[in-house]
Amino acid sequence: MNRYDRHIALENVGIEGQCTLSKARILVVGAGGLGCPVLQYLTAAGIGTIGIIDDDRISISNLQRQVLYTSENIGNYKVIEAQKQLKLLNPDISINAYVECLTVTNIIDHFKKYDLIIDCTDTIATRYLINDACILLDKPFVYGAIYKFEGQVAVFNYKQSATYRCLFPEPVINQPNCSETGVLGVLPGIIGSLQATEALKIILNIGTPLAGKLYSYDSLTNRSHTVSISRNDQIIQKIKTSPLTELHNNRCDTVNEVSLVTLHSLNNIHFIDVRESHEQPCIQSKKVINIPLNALLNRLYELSRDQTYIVFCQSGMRSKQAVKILENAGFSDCKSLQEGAATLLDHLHTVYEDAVTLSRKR
Amino acid sequence: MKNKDTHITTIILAGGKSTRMGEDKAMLLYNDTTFIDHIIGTAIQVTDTILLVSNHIQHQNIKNVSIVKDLYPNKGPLAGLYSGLSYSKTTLNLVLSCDIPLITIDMLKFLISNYTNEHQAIIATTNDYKMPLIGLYTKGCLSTCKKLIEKNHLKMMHFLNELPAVKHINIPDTMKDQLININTPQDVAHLPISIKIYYFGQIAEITGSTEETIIRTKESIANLKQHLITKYPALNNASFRIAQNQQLTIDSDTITGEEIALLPPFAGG
Repeated sequence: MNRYDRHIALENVGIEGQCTLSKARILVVGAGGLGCPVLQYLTAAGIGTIGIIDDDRISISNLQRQVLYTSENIGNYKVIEAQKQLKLLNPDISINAYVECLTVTNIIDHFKKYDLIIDCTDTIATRYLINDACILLDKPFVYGAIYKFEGQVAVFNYKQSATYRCLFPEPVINQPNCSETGVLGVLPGIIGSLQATEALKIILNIGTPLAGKLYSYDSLTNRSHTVSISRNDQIIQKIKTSPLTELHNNRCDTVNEVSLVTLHSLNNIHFIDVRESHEQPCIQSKKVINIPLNALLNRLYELSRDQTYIVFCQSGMRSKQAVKILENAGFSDCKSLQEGAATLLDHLHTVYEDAVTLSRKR
Repeated sequence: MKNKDTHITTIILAGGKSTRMGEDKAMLLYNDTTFIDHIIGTAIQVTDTILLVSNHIQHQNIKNVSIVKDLYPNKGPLAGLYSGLSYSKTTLNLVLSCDIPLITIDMLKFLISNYTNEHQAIIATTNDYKMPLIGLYTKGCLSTCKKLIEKNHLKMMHFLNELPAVKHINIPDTMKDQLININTPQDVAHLPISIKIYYFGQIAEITGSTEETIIRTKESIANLKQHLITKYPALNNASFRIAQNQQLTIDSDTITGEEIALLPPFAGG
């Protein structure tokens, strides 16, 4: 019995198609909720070379949906654990693990080595970076994104089809991700499986890929909606003629982050909570200033440029954006807290109980 | 049928010359059905008998109505009303013009519910604008009609002033759109259309629903967007694209009245 018998039996695939899969090179950006099912199915399908890039470590809250990982893996790098698991599933293929964050500096070198990119990231900024690099290198990418109970899938820049910027020309800040809003655990399984399906269709050149189309799915209503997107040559031309560094910040390199683990003293430190006022848990303290991210620019006068600030939010995403805003406004001593509000609250309670008065509203 | 009122006859006035329209208003199409058929389809659910006052040859094949001749041809709506009331076998009569294709059963029931014995006529009124061709008239009006027609005083407003007991009914704001009457070809182009709007992700959280049907005219996508932002102010700070019939739109596109979707970007992965 051959591992790929059930593929070979398909008239659209056959031995020839399976050969094509074994020669294909696919890069999966992000090894989280979407990345896990994508990687599992591509590995099982016998894609010859799979790259995985992600600098994130496994945390316990990932395990509700990131089905490649186990409780024993907590604290380890996702791409390393993914590589181990996928090797067990299919030892015949090559799996390249990159413990890196995708940046303007490394993206071109990475993308050059692959035929197809799969966007499984959880930040808007990285989606634009992937989009623009794919335009520059003329590579297709399979987009997937999720929000609570809903998901989107599309194939961009495939045979001159529309790109992500033809749909949403400019990034918006403050777009919530899963760790901030929650997500139904099975949803990335569905959306990731659709992404893997599109990837296989493109490599095998069968069926009609979602090129120039955005497919939306709502798990609560089983409603789906497909919208055609036209290629906007003006936007694409602008991307082709601008240096990537001009369009994108080097996200991973520029934001100063700090972890509670390394934070030994709260002396002279003030916290800025950039969450919306309704978000739980509510942290009230003399040490904490509440300014929602989208109001930050207008309320800089409440802050002092001589102070040391640590910015936090629900997950550490918005706080990074806030630190960028503060740095651009001349605040030199500010860092983004890697942990979210809940962890911070527990930490303050246990470690600094005497130093800070806190109230916890539920 | 229990909902029908056998004591009321519907009289539809379709004998007009439609000088501003340039063609017969009754036979204009709205959603692939003629105006007159829209109105008949609504009236037949409320009253058993429908009289169509018309001398037009092209109205001969209209179904579900008894066609009655204008007793005073070319004397306008007052003469049409006189003819209808003359042929009617009931004291109370629901009178409708043929240029209000959006009228609903609710409107007809609303008008009928406002009638009391002490009135000779009740007519629809919006913002002090009187609509004498949408209302209820009793046979008791016949003598006043006849007197004025013979004196060649044909204005409806004049006629209403002569009637001793006329009630003006204010139409609630929610129903006013039904009474938009069509006088010019431009009016046809601006007829309200019903649009089904689907909301996704964060947008559905702002609107509080995943879909709704709204009534709008054939306006631009930009106007529709502005309308939605007025209705749901939080949309102003949201990022989304609008698709129509599965195609992404730009602001200057015109809505065609089928399916609209508001699509936000998703960040999660």
